[in-house]
Amino acid sequence: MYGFICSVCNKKPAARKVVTFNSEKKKIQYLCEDCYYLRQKEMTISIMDNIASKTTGKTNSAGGVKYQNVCSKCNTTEAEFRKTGLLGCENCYNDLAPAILSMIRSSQGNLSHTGKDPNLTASKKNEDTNKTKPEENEQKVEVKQKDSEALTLKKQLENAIMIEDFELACKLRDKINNLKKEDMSDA
Amino acid sequence: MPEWMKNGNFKNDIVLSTRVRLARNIKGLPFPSKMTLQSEVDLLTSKAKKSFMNNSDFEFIDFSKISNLEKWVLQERYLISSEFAKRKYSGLILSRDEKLSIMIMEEDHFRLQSILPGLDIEKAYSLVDEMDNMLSKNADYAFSKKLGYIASCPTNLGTGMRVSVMLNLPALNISGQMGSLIKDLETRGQTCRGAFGEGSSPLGDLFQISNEVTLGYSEKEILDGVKSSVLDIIKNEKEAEKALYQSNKGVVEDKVFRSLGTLKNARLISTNEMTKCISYVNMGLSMGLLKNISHEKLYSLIINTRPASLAIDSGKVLPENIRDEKRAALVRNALA
Repeated sequence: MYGFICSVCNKKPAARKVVTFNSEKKKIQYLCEDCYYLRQKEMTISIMDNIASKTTGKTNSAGGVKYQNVCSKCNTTEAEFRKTGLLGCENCYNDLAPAILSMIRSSQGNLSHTGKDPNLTASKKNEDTNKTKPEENEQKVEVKQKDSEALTLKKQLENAIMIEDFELACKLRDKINNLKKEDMSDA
Repeated sequence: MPEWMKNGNFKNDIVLSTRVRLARNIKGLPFPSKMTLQSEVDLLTSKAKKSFMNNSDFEFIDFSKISNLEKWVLQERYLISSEFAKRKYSGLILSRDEKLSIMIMEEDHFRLQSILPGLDIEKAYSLVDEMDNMLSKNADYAFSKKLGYIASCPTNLGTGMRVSVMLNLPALNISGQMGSLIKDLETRGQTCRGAFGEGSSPLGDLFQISNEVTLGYSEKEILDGVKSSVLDIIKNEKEAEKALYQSNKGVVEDKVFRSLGTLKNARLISTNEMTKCISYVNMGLSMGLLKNISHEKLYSLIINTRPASLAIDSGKVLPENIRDEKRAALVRNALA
């Protein structure tokens, strides 16, 4: 992608730019997808080692960190998780919590789910909607108007994509985003 | 041509496919990496079969009964992951049109997928969401209010959803803009990968744009985010095409027509060379330099001429030179 060969394997084309600072000196490396993936994996493990050594102070004889946490249900060890990135069962999320939380923070940045909930079925959602108080009806009319405007814009956006008018599509997308922002501030 | 690609809307010449994948696990069972009992695998399979096999639109592919080559073909068609292609047990629920599938016992108990030709993020999600609702009637999912759908890898927590759009971006690639594009995507919690996803090398000018963050945003926010990025990239690719043509008309025309000549006449052609040539021919079509070649035909060649797909008739893996010869013949026939 950059027109260079990967500076690690010297074989594949470089697809990722990596900037590091050493003693305030900037170092730029160009890596292929494979080497970049390996580097990210090694870096995640090393960051997690660092966090663990700072919080627990436990180290093994080789100077590396010794992980003692084990899932009481499936016997997955913290070391195993750090090596593969995979957990053995739901209970690991309790028994290996510190290591998992640091990984969630570094990979996701968020800690709270806001999406779909399998326990809220469509019928339950409808029941909740029907329970709305009468004094909320006025607000609902305004919300409905905004909804229909958003719907019209969305249809226009789909049409713009169909006819390959991407400039118009971007403008319509920005309008939809502005409507969303207004909704958020109203809320 | 893969079934899922048939009758696709390729008016948009830049986007090859849209994929949405959901990771789901059953409450109380160990994740696949720690599952040792056949009875637990059978339980998962029976739950998936119960949800879909009463519908004649779906079939179950038993992985203990098909060859490695057949699994490889499924992978080349983007219906299963490379890890899942190595499985010797378990199986795949697949719709007849190949647009919907469920890998049983991949990294998670279930990996639900919808794949559509061209750009159609909303429809791809609505299809996989419907499949998810069907499966949840027979499967009690591992779910927490705080962390969402529990996955075997914390990078899939929350929605458990990965949206991937595959694009062909020759102009941005030639003009050296992919680096800044990748950087920009990273700030949006998204990423750009090679044609076969995580860890895969770039193939021609094919790139997959997908969300990296799955927790803390609703499905709609993630879908809108990826769609917004894809629209920007398409616009940028079109602008890069125009700029390239204006500044290097002769070079661009040479690349386009030379590529078409190679595809129509080569007697031996590698996957990489063919994909690159297809990419330039596509660009030529988009710029109006070429006519009467369908994007559908070009994109289906990218999938149908991969190593396992070429070998499936003979039932064994073919040496590279034979593959290159067969591939060249298929391409010539398709463009004749």
